[in-house]
Amino acid sequence: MLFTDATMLFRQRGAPRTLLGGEDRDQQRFRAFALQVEPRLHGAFVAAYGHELGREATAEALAYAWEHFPEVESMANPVGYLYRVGQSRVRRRKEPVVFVRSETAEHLVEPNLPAALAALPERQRMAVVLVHAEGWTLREAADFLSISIPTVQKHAERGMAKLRRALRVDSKDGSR
Amino acid sequence: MTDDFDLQNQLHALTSARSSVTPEEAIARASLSPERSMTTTIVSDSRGRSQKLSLRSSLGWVAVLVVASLVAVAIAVVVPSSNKKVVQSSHRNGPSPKPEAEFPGAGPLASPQVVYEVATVPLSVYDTVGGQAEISNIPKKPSQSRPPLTAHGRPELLYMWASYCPFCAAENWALVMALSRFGTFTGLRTTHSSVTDFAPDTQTLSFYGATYSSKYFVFKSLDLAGNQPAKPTAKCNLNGYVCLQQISETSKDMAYLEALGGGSFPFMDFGNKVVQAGAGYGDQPLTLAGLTVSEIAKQLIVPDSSVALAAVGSANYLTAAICTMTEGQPWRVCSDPVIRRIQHLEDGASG
Repeated sequence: MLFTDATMLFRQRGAPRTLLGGEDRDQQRFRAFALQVEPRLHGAFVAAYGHELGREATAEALAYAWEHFPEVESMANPVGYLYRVGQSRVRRRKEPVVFVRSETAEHLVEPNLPAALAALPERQRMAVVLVHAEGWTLREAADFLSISIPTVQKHAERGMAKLRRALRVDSKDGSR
Repeated sequence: MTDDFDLQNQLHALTSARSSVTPEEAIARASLSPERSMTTTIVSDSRGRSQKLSLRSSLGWVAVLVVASLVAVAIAVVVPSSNKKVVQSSHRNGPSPKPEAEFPGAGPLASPQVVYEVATVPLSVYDTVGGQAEISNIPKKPSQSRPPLTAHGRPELLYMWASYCPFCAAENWALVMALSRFGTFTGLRTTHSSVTDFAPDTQTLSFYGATYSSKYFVFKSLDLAGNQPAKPTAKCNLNGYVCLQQISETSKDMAYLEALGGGSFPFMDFGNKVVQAGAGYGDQPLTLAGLTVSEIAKQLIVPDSSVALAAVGSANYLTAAICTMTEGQPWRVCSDPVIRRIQHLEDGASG
């Protein structure tokens, strides 16, 4: 039998929560970390997989981050690492890339845009979304995709050209 | 007609219209499955909880499991064992439960519903119960420093018990819960303690004939005796009960039981870093009196029930001991503040 004072206190019903001292600091640290990386991570996954599977991949990657937080937290590029984790978790799912117009943004978005964007090759779609929708710099997108800046630029331009054709959009120089 | 600027705005409006993944959602997702890298299938939940374990595409994992099984078979063939003829461990790396004929004296397979309920007790219940149960016997550091107990390069949790023993029957509930936070059981069975002993006919789950897989440690269960009296002519009996998994009196497992457990069970050796001799909660068998396996499983999620206070409280202490053995792996289990606090208590205790 072994009872320390702490043990006896701990055994009293109704007391453990106060004894534990509120929210765990690790959870607070993880919360701050997740709030910081989620927008970029989620944006990249949506670009790659569309809304539904992109969200699933994000959730899987962040769950992994929680499981391995000390390692992930100390990484120089946690978003890039977690992106590959999410990729590996959902890559066997042969689900079509689907973009969904939300009710709030419906009046802003051409009805054909979701299908046109989904129809782009993955690299072009990622370059278009990361650079033109998410506001990443070419360098950020190039680093993330592990390709050169000119290649990102080329993918983005080709993707945008296809979208213009699909939506009959005026380009910068006025041509169609 | 739109221009490039408008197209960019449309792209932004389209792709940014997404519901964020919150940190809480990520934590909850991680805590739902003990082995996220393994396929987990849950069919139903009669209690109406909204928990949903992710179902993964199985083909790739089937291939992995097949390879793992082949490796396990190869290891079993290659690795020599001095006790091979007399030791029968319930630990296997293969996922399939063995037919009952291979385990004479084993009880029937536990229902998937019961196994699910025990393995998925919510984190909120563990945290609410905490260490407040009437735990009178907590895992302790062994009085003498010993080399780490390992198997196949991983820490080993050795559990020695007997089916007839009511304290073992009670402890099994806590142990299944604790182990389910680190790995996956297959083929758990049901059994009961002796009908003539203290707290007669205590219903429980049995590891005899089951398999357990965890990437963090190896679990070795030795059910030394059944719950039926041995015949007078039997070659082996333990306290008058029929022998099940016999071990040599000169085996290292028996040596640990004698040296660290005082020769009594239930006995748990957490990699020689922490040991528990005897049940965590001495009166726990009485809290289970008259309850069926299914009724006990359903009580586990009611934090103020006497069953949960005893079994979940014990499970928290065992979880903390396992975290000591695995040196804090996995982090999502061992970083729980309740577990950390109990670990501090156990660190300060020595047997």
